[in-house]
Amino acid sequence: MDSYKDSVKRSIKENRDNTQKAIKDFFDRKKTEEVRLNAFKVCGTFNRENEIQTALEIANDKGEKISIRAAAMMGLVNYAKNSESFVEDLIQKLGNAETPEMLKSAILSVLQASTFGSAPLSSRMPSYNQALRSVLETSNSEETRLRAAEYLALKKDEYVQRKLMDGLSNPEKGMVPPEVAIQLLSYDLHSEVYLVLRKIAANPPNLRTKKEALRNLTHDTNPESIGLLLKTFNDKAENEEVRHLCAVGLQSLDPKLLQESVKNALLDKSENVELQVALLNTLNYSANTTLTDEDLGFQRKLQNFANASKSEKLKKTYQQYADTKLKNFK
Amino acid sequence: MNRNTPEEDIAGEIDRAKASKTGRDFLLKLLDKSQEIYAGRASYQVDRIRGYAIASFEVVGLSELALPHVLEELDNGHSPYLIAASAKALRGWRSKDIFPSNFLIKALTNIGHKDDCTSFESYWPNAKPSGVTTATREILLTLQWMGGRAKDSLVFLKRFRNGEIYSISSENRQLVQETIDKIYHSNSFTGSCCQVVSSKQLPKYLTIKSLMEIKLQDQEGDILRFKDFFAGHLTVVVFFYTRCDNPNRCSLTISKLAQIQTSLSNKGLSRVRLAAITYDPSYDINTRLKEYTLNRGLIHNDNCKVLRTLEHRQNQIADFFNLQVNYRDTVVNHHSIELFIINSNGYVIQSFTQFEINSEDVVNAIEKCHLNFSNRSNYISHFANGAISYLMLLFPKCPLCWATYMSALGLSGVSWLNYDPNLIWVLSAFAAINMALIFFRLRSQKSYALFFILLASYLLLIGSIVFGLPVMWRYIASGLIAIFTFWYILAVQTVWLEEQWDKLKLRLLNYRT
Amino acid sequence: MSLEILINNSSDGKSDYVTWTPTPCKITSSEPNGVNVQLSNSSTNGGQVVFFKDLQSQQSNGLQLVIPATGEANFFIAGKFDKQTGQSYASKNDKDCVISARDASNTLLSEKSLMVRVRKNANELSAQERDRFLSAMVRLNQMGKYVELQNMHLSSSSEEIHERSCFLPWHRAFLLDIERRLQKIDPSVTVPYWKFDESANNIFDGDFMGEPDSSGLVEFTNTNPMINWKLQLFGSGNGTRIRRRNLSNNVPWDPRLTGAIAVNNSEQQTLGLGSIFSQFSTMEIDPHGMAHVSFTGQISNIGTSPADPLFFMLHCNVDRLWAKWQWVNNHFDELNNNTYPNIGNGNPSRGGENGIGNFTKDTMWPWNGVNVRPRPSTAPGGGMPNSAVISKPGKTPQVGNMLDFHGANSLTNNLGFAYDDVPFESTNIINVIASV
Repeated sequence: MDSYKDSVKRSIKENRDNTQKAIKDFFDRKKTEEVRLNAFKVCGTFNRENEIQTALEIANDKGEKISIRAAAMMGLVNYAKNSESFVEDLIQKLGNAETPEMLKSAILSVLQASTFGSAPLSSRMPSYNQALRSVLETSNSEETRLRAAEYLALKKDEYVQRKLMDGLSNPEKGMVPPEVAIQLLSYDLHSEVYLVLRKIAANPPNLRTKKEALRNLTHDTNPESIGLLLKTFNDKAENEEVRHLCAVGLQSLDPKLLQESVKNALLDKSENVELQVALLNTLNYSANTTLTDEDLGFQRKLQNFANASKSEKLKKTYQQYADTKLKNFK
Repeated sequence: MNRNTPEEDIAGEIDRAKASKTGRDFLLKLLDKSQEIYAGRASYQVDRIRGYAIASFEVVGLSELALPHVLEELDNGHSPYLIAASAKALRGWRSKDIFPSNFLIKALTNIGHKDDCTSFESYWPNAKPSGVTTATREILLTLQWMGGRAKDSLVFLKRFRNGEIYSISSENRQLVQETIDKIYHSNSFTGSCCQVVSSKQLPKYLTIKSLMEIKLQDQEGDILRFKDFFAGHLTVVVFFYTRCDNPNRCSLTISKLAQIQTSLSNKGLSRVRLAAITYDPSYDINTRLKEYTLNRGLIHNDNCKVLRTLEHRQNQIADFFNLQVNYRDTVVNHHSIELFIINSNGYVIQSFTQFEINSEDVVNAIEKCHLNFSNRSNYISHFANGAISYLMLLFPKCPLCWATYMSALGLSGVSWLNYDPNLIWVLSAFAAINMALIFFRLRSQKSYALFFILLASYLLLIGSIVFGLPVMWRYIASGLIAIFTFWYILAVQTVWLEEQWDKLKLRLLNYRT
Repeated sequence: MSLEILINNSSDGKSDYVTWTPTPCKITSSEPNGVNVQLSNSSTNGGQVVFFKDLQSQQSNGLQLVIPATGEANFFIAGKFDKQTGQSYASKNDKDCVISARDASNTLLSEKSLMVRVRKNANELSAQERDRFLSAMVRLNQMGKYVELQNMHLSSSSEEIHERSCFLPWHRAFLLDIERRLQKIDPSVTVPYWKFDESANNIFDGDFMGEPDSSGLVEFTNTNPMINWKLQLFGSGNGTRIRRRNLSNNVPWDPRLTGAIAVNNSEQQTLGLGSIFSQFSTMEIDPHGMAHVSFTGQISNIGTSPADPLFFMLHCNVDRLWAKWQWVNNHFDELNNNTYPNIGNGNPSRGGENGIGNFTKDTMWPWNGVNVRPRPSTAPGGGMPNSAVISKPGKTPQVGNMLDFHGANSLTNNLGFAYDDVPFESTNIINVIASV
């Protein structure tokens, strides 16, 4: 007999027994909050009918500790797969300003996870979206508001996009920091944010925002955007991460233009080594690099430069680059 | 109103148009996707403006010109707001005998689980709007409003209610049941529909000669001129872009083109050329175009290419085909489905726009065109037409010209017949027919100046008779009619001559290649 | 004397890949009088195989074989999996498993390099294995061949592939699709799995799947190919980077230290959901959905989730759990409705549980190219990529093809992938289950 299979089966059975004990402890209202929450960690989901009923009672019992109610809600997540009434109740609670924040957060997890497999939730998507919009207006928890904003932004929701745009124009009204607003707005290529990116990049409130603005300019084939990316990349006083993301952007928009600048940066001893490593990495994974691949003079110089470098990272990255890109040169 | 007009101003104008009886023309204008007002805006702004305008047709009444735009959203739109607006707008449709319930059913299928809450009580979206509704709800309400005229949809609605199409919420189930009941218990006429004609009609005799020198790049990276691929070949051309986020439009259009390719090949028509041109040439570089179309089953070869314009010539193509597309900056913010068939003489002979492409219809149209082309007697008739056309310059050649001559001569002679009161009405009727024919002819060329001059001359003539003005006015009016009618004949024939010359050039070009 | 060992009965080097499933091989010799050979593993560092004279014989670490005068002898090999201890002997590098053929005097007559290629725990990959995977992923993306995988898994296609029984088979096919695409770039690559009920300090590291900054944007080290990752979703900006904020349900969570924060069901609890498919498939929400929403960012939303390559590692674990459940319960037979509830053909005019695409004999969208409702309105991606190793499931797979993935009922069903902790087992193929 295979003892490996036996041991797997045995562990499933043992786990089932432990789970039953943990569920019993979690349901036991006489036990302390700490004991019950510790027990919940190994409960898994509530699957049996009687477990589901008890967990529902706990989740809806206003006399229970909020943390216990929230845990019960999390454990009921698989019940959302088929129960219409449960899903309806969750949506109603999520949109209700009176629902305690901790409970709201748990409901948000349960509902969003249920978008991955609950038919009752799919058929109530309009109400769920509306509840998410309510969360933006009514939740006191920044974290919960941010999650709701992200779930809506991922669906290219107009309401949240307008709200984020308002925040970008009036930072005091912003519900998230500007760099996050740009990230969320950029989920929709067709959003308004792309119209203001160049302006933000020219006058950013902080480095992160600048990075986000420049990174998202990559969608824009406008020569002004390309010019801005190139100028920023060539500016040695600029932060090296910012310069590299400009290179990645240019690699999509104008690979030829990028390669000319990259050649100079790679052979420049005064350049930041981290940037050079990143640029070599980017060249390695670029599809259209004939200008650098076929420039034998540049390749010789680059080989010498990498060999002479004290940076192990640079040497290793050069080797990877040479292995894949320079078969002809060899 | 233009790209810089703030949304609140546009919304205000739509509200005013909704309140006035004459506002329909303004709303109708907003349905054209290529309008300047949509340029430079995000997609959600475009959708909001269009959706708000479309929903207003419920109040002002939906005209035949607006109907295709509304049906387009139901057919292949994916914005719950626009679909809900379109369903509402249909309730402004006054035709009693036919009704496009099939489009509503298609919209229900399309919307699936992507529906959303929305409201039309005010322009701006709101977290807690009053009058909240959904696309599904509006579609069902419109079906209820149709009553017995939606009987064709009962089979679908029962399956929808039972969750056989996709899972359905209890409140929607109840609404579907109410809809079924209302349709059942309605006594109104059961009509089915619908051969809806696209609102976009390209002018007749539109020739691609002005595009011939435009530089293109194909999916392999090879550079060619427009004429290299299109001249002398029967061609199907579609427009799309790879960043389109409505799978019912671009992605499906390319899949349909692949189906057309297979059908043509099965029918021995694989020499018909197929072209897919991107709306977004700066982003859609050849490698992207190749992967995208390959993944949708299109086989690239000498007769099938995916193309992007070079040297910023996209506008020229957009203007030529009157493409229903607009841009935020360099990114498309909305567009329609667009397919055209261009014959081997370079004339756009058929358009399939706005609605999901039916590959069978396209293949049938190609077959028909191919048959016409391969019929040699056609060449003779072309030649005969050419010869006759010169005679037409001097002789009356068609009912239009008869009406023209008769009314022109008749009306100018009216001054000598002013004692016969009945004849003036007969001749006025000729004048009306003449003016109508001239109007329709000139409308296709978008040239109305001549029409208005002639109209003014006729009015002057008739007015001078009716109000008993001095005879001199009748002579002046008659003279004007004679001069401008002849001018009109010349103008029409000049265009015709020009077309014949273009055809000849294309033939020569084709012969060379 | 020339001797040649053919894996998968083919002299093509692309066929030299095996899993735990017995693979037909042959050895040819030019010796006119026949020859006796001893086959064995000759490398102790790389992958290991076991040998079978035929499918009726017990497996062994070495095999005595007589090559007759006809010059050809058949045998089988499989990757070595010790069913006593559960230890597996998969390769770490391409073709690091070497079989030698020696004569009676122990003279080496021939050697054959191959790879025991299985899916592994991503957290335990060697640096080379990790880098090969990342490199192939980024190259796939750069070639424009990743975007179509994303476009298969959109909100508009969700009803076809979620909320019904085909969720597990469909995602198995989806994984097979990307894995075969990756293997065309680097045949030594498999999709690794993120065991989301355990800590994963190596996965959520700048050298692998990256670490989020305070805004949630994932950052990578400069040597990680992922710094070149581009999102190319339908209608999404291509400058967008992966966002993957660790969820903090009142307390901060770090996936490097504990399993996915929102997941309730551990591996044992998932395997213990029930022994019939309809019970087990509730895992679609927990752990599957809960693993997705343990972060915010693309991964937390159906229509955008494959934009984050973690998606495939998450789903690889979902699939591993299903594979393990199948093995524990011996559910490989597509005619057994405990293995899969919908046998035969679905109603072609219906979606949902009773509809087309959810029954064993139904072809699977989008590989079938069907874009007529109730299927989604577009079918991107082309057919299922072929494999240099095996022929199943073909260009247009059926739901039923996904069930007997090891070929337990018939070796011809083998799909050519396996997990490092799920051995091959068959009750139909005589003696193959016999232990070492």
